[in-house]
Amino acid sequence: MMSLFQPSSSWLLLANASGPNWALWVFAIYIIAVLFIAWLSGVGIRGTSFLSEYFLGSRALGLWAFALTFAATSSSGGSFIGFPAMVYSHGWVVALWIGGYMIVPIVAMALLGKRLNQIARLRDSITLPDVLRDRFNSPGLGTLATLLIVFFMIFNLVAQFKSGSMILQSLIQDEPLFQQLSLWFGNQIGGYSFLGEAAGKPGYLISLLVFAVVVILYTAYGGFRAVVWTDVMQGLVMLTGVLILLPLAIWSVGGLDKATREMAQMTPPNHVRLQLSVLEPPAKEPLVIPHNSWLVYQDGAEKQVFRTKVRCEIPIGQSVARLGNSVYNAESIPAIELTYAGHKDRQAVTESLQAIQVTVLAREPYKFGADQTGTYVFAPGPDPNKVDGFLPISLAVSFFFMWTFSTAGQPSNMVRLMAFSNTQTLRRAIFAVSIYYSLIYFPLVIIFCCARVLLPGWETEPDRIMPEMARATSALANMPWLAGLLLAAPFAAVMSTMDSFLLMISSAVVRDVYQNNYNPNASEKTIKRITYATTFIVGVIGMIVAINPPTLLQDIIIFTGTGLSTSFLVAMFLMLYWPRYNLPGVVSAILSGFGTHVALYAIGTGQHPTFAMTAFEPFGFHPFVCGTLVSLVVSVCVTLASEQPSRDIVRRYFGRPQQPE
Amino acid sequence: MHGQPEPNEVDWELDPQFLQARREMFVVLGLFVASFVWTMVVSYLLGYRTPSPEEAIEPSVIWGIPVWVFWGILVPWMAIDIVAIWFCFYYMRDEPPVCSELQTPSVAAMPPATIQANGRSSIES
Repeated sequence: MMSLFQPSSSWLLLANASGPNWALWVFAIYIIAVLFIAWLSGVGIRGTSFLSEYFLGSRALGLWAFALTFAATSSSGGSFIGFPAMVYSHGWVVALWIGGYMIVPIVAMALLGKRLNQIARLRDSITLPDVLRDRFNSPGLGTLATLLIVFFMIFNLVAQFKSGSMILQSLIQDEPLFQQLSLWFGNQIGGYSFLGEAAGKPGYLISLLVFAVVVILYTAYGGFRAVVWTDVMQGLVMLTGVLILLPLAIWSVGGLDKATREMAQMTPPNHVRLQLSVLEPPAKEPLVIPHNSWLVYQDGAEKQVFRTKVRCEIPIGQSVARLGNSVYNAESIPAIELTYAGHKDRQAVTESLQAIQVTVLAREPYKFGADQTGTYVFAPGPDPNKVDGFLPISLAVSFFFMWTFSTAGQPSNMVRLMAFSNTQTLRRAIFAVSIYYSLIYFPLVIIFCCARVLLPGWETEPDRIMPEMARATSALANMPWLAGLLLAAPFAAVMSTMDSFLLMISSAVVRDVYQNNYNPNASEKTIKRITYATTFIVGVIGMIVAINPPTLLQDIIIFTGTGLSTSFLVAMFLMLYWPRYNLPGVVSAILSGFGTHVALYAIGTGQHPTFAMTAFEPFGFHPFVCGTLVSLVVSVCVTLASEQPSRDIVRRYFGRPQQPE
Repeated sequence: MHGQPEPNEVDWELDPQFLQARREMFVVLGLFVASFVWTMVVSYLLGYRTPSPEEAIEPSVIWGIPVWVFWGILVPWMAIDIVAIWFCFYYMRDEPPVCSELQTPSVAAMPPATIQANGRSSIES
């Protein structure tokens, strides 16, 4: 058992530990399957209406395609990396944080689904701006919607490119072939100044190139149908991963009952700064202390256990460990200190580091939950930075509301609602997605509560808990190939999200900018050529920006994701169900939602200049909640204060259809 | 929602498909409110408190899940899945496909007779 708790120096030692690199094989098979599916879909584009086929799959999605593309698009890399890290760090309360997903399928698909599909068919609308433009007979509104979608989606596209490449890099970085390749590539690109800092990260660049080329190729060639069918495969990969990991995790800890009881006895670790020294300075080569090294300090009966967060080394002829030469305060090494006796007792020092002596320079206990038993089992959960805990009830309310309605308001989800073949498909898909989410999200909470018991000390690098758990459980079960399959899940999640973003942007450009505003009479052949080219070019631009991505990417993802919903949810909802709704009403809904969202972020960022992109949260409620309420109130007031919509439009969209002669 | 045409307008009436979709929309919002209230009230009452020293060491669990998570999240989650069976297979109605106004009638999948039965078609499954 002890070997389980030794540190590993990279994401994916798992496969190297035993024979062939399973992770790499699984990945290769996976990529081939994706490209094969895309080729089949591309061959299928022979229908009469190219645009409707390319961007909407000719509105012919059947049950499994529709259900799984909806489910897979909404779960991005965060579901398999950030979310497990959160469960691991804060305990059972995260079940409440994600609890909104119990109602997400019903609200996100049934609130707008049937009506949106009907209205889109009525006027042959292909994109969301199409729908808005036709419904209010206003080209300007279509342009406004297009601008907002392109603005928000570009950020998100870059973010997904980055996280996909990082997952790929961790997947293959231990392969000798890959290491040689990145060394060679690093030498080749060394001289190009336009690459900026990225020139120092050839591994990332190669991963980005491979990942981007695959995604851009299959999306550009196969269009919506390729995206949907690869989503189906990706959705199944995610589900299989979770369903295999669940029993393994419970079995590894000796039953969930035992795990929860042990969690109750745990207290959160302390964040500390350490001075690490040796009595005899290294003579020949520096002593390297890798990140995630365990250090144990025995003082009589008391045992102190630490784990380093970063790599540091003791230079030749010196006795104190340093982070690097140019680092401020280089002799103060960040680490965590375990406080739970059960974990401390079974933790041994990393072998090569036995001679190191530890002095604690500073100790920072959790702001909430320090020294409290039961904190990982009860709400609001421990938190290192917030005095009122991880999830105070006002935040729980916000998240429940936000998951549900921001999913409903995502344009990439709305487009899928325009593509199902008939209402029977919709009804069955809602049920299928309900079951799918139940089988993904609640089990993930259980799995990573078990991880908390099984693998202590990953507060140093919580984002690695998913691969580490995959590695640990497959090793325990003696099935190394399993780790490869489990790691394909987060990769699949990123791919399935970003391919749909890519297509959203491309459809906005081709349909809403080119065809509607620039050249309405373009021939089918021209449109076809422009569509392939646009998808390709948008993808390449995203890739180029991702070479040196902005650092605050995670904040930007949240900002853009909820920003889109805040702008569109109220407008779409009222447009579908309120005959009195008019053009001033819909424009004010979009602008006030967007404005509130941006304003709250601007105020928050101004108040805390150090934490960039922080939102101001009135009464503890998230900007999405505030923005949606403002948008609703403003929109209703503006509509009632302005003129009735034209009778023809109301009649076309809400009247009983005239029978064909 | 003010949906009714003004009384003196007799030349058209609201589409029954629209009215049915609107009814379903209100049911969806009702389900959201129900699940929201259940989850928040139960979780708050059972989960948001400082555990007593005994509880902190020996929390009460059901199937290994803390009692507050079980009643506050897992049970409503399962309940919603069961309600989803009712909603998807017994409540929500199927509609004939809407024909595009921009296409000729021959392209439409359904014969005119079925379109006449707007919103009245029964569940197929």
